Amino acid sequence: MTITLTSLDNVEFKVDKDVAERSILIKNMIDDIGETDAPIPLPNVSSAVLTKVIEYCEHHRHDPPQVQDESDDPRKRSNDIEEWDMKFMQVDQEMLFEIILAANYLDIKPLLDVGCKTVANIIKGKTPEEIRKVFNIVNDFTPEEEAQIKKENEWAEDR
Amino acid sequence: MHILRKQELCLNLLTMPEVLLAIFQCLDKMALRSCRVVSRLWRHHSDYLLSQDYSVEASDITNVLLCPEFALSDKQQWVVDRFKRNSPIIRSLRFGNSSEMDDYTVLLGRYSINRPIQQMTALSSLSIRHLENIPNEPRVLFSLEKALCELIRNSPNLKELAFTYYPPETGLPAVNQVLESTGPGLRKITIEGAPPAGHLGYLLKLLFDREQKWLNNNDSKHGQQVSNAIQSAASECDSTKTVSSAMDSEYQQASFARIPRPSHRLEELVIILGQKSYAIFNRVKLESVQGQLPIKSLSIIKPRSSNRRNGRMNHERFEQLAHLAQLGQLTPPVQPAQPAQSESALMNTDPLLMILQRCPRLEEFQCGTNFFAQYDAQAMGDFYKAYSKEMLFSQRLITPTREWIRCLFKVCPNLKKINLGGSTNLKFDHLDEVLGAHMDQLESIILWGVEMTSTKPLSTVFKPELIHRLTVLNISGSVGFSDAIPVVLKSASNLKCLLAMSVLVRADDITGFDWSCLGLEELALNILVPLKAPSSGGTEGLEDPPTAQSSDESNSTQSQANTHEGSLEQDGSDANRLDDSPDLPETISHNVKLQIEVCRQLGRLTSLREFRLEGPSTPNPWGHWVRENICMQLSMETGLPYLEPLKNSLQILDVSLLFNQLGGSQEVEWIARHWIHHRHPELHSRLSVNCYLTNGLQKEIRNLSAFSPMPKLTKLIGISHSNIRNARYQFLMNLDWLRNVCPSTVTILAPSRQHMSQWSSIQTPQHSLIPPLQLNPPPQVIPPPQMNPDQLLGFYMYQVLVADHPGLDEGNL
Repeated sequence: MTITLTSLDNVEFKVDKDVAERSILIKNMIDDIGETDAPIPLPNVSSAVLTKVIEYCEHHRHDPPQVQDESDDPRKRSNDIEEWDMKFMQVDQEMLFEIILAANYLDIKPLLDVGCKTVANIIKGKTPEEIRKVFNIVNDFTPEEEAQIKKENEWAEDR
Repeated sequence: MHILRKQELCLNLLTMPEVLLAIFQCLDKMALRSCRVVSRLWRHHSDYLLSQDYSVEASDITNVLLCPEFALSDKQQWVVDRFKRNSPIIRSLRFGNSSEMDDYTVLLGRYSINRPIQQMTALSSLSIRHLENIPNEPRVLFSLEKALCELIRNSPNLKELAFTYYPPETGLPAVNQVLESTGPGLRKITIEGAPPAGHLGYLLKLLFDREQKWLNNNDSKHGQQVSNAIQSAASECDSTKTVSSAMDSEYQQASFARIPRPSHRLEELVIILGQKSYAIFNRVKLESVQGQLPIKSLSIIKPRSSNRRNGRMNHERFEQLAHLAQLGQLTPPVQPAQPAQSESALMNTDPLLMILQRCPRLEEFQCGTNFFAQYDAQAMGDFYKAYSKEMLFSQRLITPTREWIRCLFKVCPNLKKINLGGSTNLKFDHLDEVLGAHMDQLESIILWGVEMTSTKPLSTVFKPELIHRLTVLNISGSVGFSDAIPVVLKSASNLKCLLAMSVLVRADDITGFDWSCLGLEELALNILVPLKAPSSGGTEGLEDPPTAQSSDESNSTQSQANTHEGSLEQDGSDANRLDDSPDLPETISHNVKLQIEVCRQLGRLTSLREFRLEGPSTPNPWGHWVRENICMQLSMETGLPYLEPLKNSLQILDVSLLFNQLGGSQEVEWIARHWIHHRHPELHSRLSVNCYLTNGLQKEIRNLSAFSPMPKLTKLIGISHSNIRNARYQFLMNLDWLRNVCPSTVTILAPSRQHMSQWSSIQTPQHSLIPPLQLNPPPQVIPPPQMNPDQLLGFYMYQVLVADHPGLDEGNL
């Protein structure tokens, strides 16, 4: 069965149901309204981004459903990205952020994970100043606060 | 416009708590600490994650748990405040470590009552260790014990507890108090220390009692649940029926079945014996113990002495081990002959079996020496001494005769994982038929350092049809186990880990068939490559004593082989060409064909994370004399390009004990192009440089974080130990190049003035014998990487100090 998705800029995408259902949001919508030919509007996703998201979902259409990690450790590794996903994420930062936002909105957890790991890899090895520069973040600490935090970091180094 | 859009996106994305947390969960502590300086919002989220894993040094434990009557320093106050603030979200808490204690003597006695301990609902892992340095002040120690017990009681979700055993007379938190404070949710207990004679039995009795207590509680609760369910079911039934008649109905039984059995049970027990412990079990105490432990995993480990230098047990030590085994020096000291005990007598007298009988659900059993603990093994003499001593200790711990192992499987019929590594009096003769009888149920077998005195081939034990469950096999140092390697490579399709360090296996024994263990993630092999095709089967060349001639011949033949193989092209694209032609050209010598075939098989292991390839030198330092064989190489000619598919998985490549390592610039370049990526942040922490010191020891340097961002490494050094002059040239030139390009990656440890002067003289430009550019090309611009940045996380570079080669001086050069 084919599902029609409409992007923010009114471009229609026809995709197989199992591909579309990689998105939990879309899956729930289909479950709620039943099978229909009516297009599903996705007002938060542009056609450029939706193209990428569909490419991802098509590549991973046969992946088994993600199992909830039962371990107590919430930490994840950022170095276990598959090669295809790695290449898929080789986009400019703007597109990377758009994909993450779309994955979050559409509830595609594996895509969100890959996006977050990619951002984490950008962060790693950078100084706070470099991070601010890369992500255009304003330093809202007072100099005293910043000095205190740096001192705490030194105290915490061995912990 | 574009910039504005980007800023807006950053603002949207990086202020969403769920996204920010998801990103931060992928960061290590170091990166998280950088994040907490970025902005207030980032600090909030990174602090949340940083606080979940919490460590309190031994010097701060009193401040955190007790109320000091003196002013704390800023740092101490911060530690205390942070602990108080974050108590509800801490998941993992470690009290104490091996750091030096401050001098608290003058302050002792100035602590008032305990601080109130908050509910620590998130805490699942608690470690209380190395508190023995806290000065002995009874009042403080008493309060400390109370506080720790309260903390445990206030942690209802605690699943893992690790603590050091302190005998009651020390005043430190007593084991019985700690254990009594734990709740039913505890799954794993790790106890380390040195229980004196008799205390181990006492400790086990405490554990049995604790389990019995919770079992009774659970049963009583379970009984209440059953009763409630019956009442409930009765009320749902026809009101005319009585409760008793309802009880007979199927409905009743179904209701009963719906009630969950108590699920919280201790599953894993680890006992790490102290260095000086003789592990004397108190049999009388054990006999008095009633009940069973529901654990599935039991480990009783005795580490080697740790207060000596030179790091951990590594593969070189396995080589020593293998050598000693060959020389027959591992025979245990002569013991008075004892009549074989019947199984029933053994079960009633052997303390370990007495414990095991009380653990009938056991699926994993580990007992022996932890060879990876630190110990001193600088010289063979010391090694043997340590080894002999260890044997005495181990004999107290376990006597794994054939009958014993038969009893083990009898009392623990569900055993799936067995680790008897380092039980130095373990012989293959003890294992063969017993292991063979249970092979089809075993998933993990760790038997390193096993003495092989049987002439029976291992294929009688490792039968292809019985090893389908096997996922882990570690036979490092068990020199007689080499014939198991081809069988498992061929038939153990579920194998994830095969470690066979110092177990020589011939390349022609592991080729000629496709390896079925394509899911291998960890592999260590020591591959011998025969120079000539064998006229008949056999393992010639392993037994003869050394001669200088054979060594030279071998080297010479190897060099010739290398020269011959120049016909093959030397870039990564060769892999495909070779793939397409299953029959290699006739011009390629037998040993090269074998090596290419091994590389082909290795290239199919696309899940391989760690690969350790070793190969003996001729002669090697420990005297394995090998005639008519060479060690496996990793060169372009011998099939390195076939390893290209490993680029997505391989994280550690260790060729430090490979005779020729990676001596050629082409190989180094190939590795750099295919496996190393400077953008990988992990490389910072994983990359290590090993230096051989002048006294023959090697030292690993891990602090390579000096430079940032990390440069792309276009060359890495792997240098031969051999006395081939070209290799030395190449090494020196490569090292020189690397020093200029990436100064931080090159460190020479403790060189003497003489070595330094040698080093300087080698670098002088007037040294005309060193070809300046041929072997030392300027850094090339490498095309944009086609590889996965998450490829090789660590690459061991081994550098040899100039002075390590006595023959190396200006005259020779």
